[in-house]
Amino acid sequence: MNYLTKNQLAIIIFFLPLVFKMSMLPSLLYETSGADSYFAIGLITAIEFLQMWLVLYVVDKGGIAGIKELYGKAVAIAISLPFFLVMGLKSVLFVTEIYVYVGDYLFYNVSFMPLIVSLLIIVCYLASKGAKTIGRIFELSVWLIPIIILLGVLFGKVKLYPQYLTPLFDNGFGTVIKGIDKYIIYAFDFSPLLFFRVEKKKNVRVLIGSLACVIAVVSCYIVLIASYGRATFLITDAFAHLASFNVVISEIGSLDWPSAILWLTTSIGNVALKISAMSDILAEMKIKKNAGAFVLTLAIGLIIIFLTKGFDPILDFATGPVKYVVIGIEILAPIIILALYAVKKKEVRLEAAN
Amino acid sequence: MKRRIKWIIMLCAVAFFLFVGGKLPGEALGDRAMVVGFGIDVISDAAIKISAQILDPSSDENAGQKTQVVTAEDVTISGAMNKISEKAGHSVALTHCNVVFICQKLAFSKNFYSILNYLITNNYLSENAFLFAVDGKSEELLVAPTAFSSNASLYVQKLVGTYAVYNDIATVTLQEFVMKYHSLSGVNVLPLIKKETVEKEQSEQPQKDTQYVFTFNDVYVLKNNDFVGEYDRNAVLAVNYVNNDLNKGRVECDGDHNEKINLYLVDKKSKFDYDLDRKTAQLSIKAEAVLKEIVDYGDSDSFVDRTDLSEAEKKRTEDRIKDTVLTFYKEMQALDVDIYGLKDGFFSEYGKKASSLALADIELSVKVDLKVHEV
Repeated sequence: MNYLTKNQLAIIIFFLPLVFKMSMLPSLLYETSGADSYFAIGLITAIEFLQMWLVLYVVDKGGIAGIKELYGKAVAIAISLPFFLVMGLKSVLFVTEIYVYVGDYLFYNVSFMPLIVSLLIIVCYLASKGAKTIGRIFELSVWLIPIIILLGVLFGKVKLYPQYLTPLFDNGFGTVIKGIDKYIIYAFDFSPLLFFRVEKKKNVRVLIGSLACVIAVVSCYIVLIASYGRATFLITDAFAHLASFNVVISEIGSLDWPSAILWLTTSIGNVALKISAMSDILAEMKIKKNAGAFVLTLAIGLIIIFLTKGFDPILDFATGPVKYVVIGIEILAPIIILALYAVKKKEVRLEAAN
Repeated sequence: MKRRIKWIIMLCAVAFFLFVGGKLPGEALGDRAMVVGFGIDVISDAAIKISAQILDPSSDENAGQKTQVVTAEDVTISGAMNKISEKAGHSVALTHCNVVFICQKLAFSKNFYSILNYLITNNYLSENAFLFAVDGKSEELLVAPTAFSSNASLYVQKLVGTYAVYNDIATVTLQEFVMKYHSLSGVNVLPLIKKETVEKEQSEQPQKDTQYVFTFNDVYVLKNNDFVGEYDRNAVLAVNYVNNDLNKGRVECDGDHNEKINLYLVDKKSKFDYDLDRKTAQLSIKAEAVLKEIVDYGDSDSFVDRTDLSEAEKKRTEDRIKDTVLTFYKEMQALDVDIYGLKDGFFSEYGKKASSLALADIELSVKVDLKVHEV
């Protein structure tokens, strides 16, 4: 259930850091960093892939399952719990972003409660099915990209104003750092992979997926800023706007359906991957995976409906001091796991020598 | 066995949607009021009137696309749209709306952006929808019988679809409007539609029906929320020569022997270079044109039978383009209106160092390079 082929892994690596950077983040980041925002996002995405290599190295060593074998269940749970909190927080933020997209962009005049419930039912189902199913969905979704490109070539109307891409670093490097610092919660998103098994073969596709992701993210920001100039801060659904090419054809209306399907599928897949990993952690505490997925999605739903109540409060919380805890865990925990592997390896070597 | 169960469930699901799907709650396309264009009129200091041109789904397809104009008054656009939905008995859908008209009074008012903001942030309306000011009320334009189409909205769409961007036709989309509103210059050039009557003789009826054609050769210039003025075809030409989208249109010039020469523009590229120290902006326009027609109204026709321009004629054409651009720039500069967005250009190149630069100090020079293809 929790096994990813190397093809699925490469596609997930392409989509995982991409999806939530291309929706509301471009407008938010533009408000903070202005024209520097496309450089800022390129930089942080490139750095993010350093974490990915660390995570994949840990996965190659055996991941969390390996720690359980070497140190026992208690240590595995103890090392997993920080990830549990991180993925939980990100899931709340991202589910909120999805329902805002559905409620603001896809449908008008709809109540948020049924949207949240519908979304979470799908997330719960996918999470209970595990990484293999989610990986397959990502694999199928990737075919929408050529369709979007084809529609864009056939019908697209894009008018770009490159002068809005400069000046870069007009206020020094400070605005880049400020933007990265404020929205760093949107980066370092690979920790769910620690809980899955991946096909152990040399995988050049992962490198291709990483590079394609950085190029896609930066291109999205460049095209968005060159299209909307100083009004970029108004565009809250960046990918939907760009991938629909702003085309209305009298007979079929707007061309946004492939982009809507792609973004929804991959964003739900992203959250489902986190819930799936979290329910694996719960499974170690004798809570069945299906039950765990249900409890987690229910908890997320309740938090969104009764506690956070909207995107702004959860964004304020996630971009507050808690983001440093989250990023600290995302970066340090894989290093600690590696250290645990190294310690055990040394012990084994010493035992063998004795 | 497990696979068989999956297939059975899949078949049940397909059967369910085939036979019961129609009964599920939903809204068929035919049940929606498809708006193809709408107008905004100001009726008081705090109330607007919305006119929606709605496709009539019951109309005979062979009779063309018939529409009805439904109006409603409210303090907000969405409020008025709700009322239109109630009147039409269908929920209003903006997904097929490509054109928005605003009345003269709204263009003059300081609430311009505030009222249009709903359209800009409304994800259901395409940002590529064209925005036009109307000489008078937009409702009058929408209900006006048009000579070459079944309704005003589709007629305008057809015209701008064919001729935008033509060198003396002005167009702006909602996206361009909002982008320019938030630019450093804050200047928008809003196309102004004017009606011209044509008389249509009907064979079966003795009386004549008045029908209309529209012209798009005038513009309103706005600076942020302030109305600057109404300008004619020369202003449209000037803005379009600077606008990089323009690659078709006509250019006229006088021949060496006072012939009237018409050239067709087939390509044009413009590029600005900025020098902050000298406070100068240099606009280079490279244009390509095809010689279309030479008419000699003088006594002789010996200068007509040729396929190329003399160097002097080419120079005169280049000077005409240059003068058009510079004249409008100076007119706007005197009003402190950055019509070509030079401040954005300086800022793009020099950053905050250029922020103290005043428009009055910027000297614009124009260089035109025209290549004329022989036919």
